[in-house]
Amino acid sequence: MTDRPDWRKLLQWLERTSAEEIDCDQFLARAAGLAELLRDAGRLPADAAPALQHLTVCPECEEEFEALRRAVQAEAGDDTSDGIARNPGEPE
Amino acid sequence: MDPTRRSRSDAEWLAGLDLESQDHPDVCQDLAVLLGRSLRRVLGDRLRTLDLDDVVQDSLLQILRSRDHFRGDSRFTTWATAIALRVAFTELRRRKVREGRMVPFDAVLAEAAAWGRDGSPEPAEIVESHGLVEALQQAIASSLTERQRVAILAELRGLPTVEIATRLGTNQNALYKLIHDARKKLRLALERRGFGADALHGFVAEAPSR
Repeated sequence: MTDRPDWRKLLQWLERTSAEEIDCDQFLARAAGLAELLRDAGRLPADAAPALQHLTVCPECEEEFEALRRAVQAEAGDDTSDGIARNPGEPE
Repeated sequence: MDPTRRSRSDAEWLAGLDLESQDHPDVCQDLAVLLGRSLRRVLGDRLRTLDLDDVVQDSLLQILRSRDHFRGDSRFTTWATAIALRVAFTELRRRKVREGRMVPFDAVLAEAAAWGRDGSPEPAEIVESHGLVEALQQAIASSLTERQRVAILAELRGLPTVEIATRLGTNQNALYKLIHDARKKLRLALERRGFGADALHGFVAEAPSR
């Protein structure tokens, strides 16, 4: 027998629902840039609002983005330790 | 020296991934090493159930297929890592389904057929939500298609979207639209019953986790 539906979780999703939303592929197209912005600036610009909204209603993208953020942080640690793999003209 | 430690610009990565490039094998090998390292580092123990080489090879194929979509708003390697993580997580989710560690989709199908039509919310739920849960259940019954009920319930049960999409004979983006349309319908139905954004926010903010 299954548990009763989680009404609260569904109501949370409804509360976070927007008239226009980006889908998972559209989010993935922006994820790398957002992860680097978060690493470099610690916050996201206003035009990232649709991507952030997507994360509140898509647990899978949220899980993947959190992992990407950790990967980006770890790579940054590597880069600062040996100063490699930056693009030409990219600030240290 | 680790080959991926060489400095390589985004343009060099992209040029090297071109099938005509004489650097193609080396660039693919370097990217495979880099992706494998990132996946091991981030997923750690969770990777033990997967064949890392398979995940990396699948990732490389996807990256090669979609490299024209790289927009340059991040380093190429970060963009490639995002794709590899999606491949890895999708395989981890598929595996959970195959190993029976999730509610079977057929059980969700059976449950969805009656969802909203029978089995009233528990009295405590009605009281705690001031009727919101009861209105939601009625909205599910009256506003959603059978397909939308299945999709929403399957997602609530935590089934991976790749599994839901496959079982519904669609793709993940079409599934997202199906569920988004369902959420909008439910919101509208609740608003018509007097439960607007404030009521939703109040309940979500105050209700204890169950």
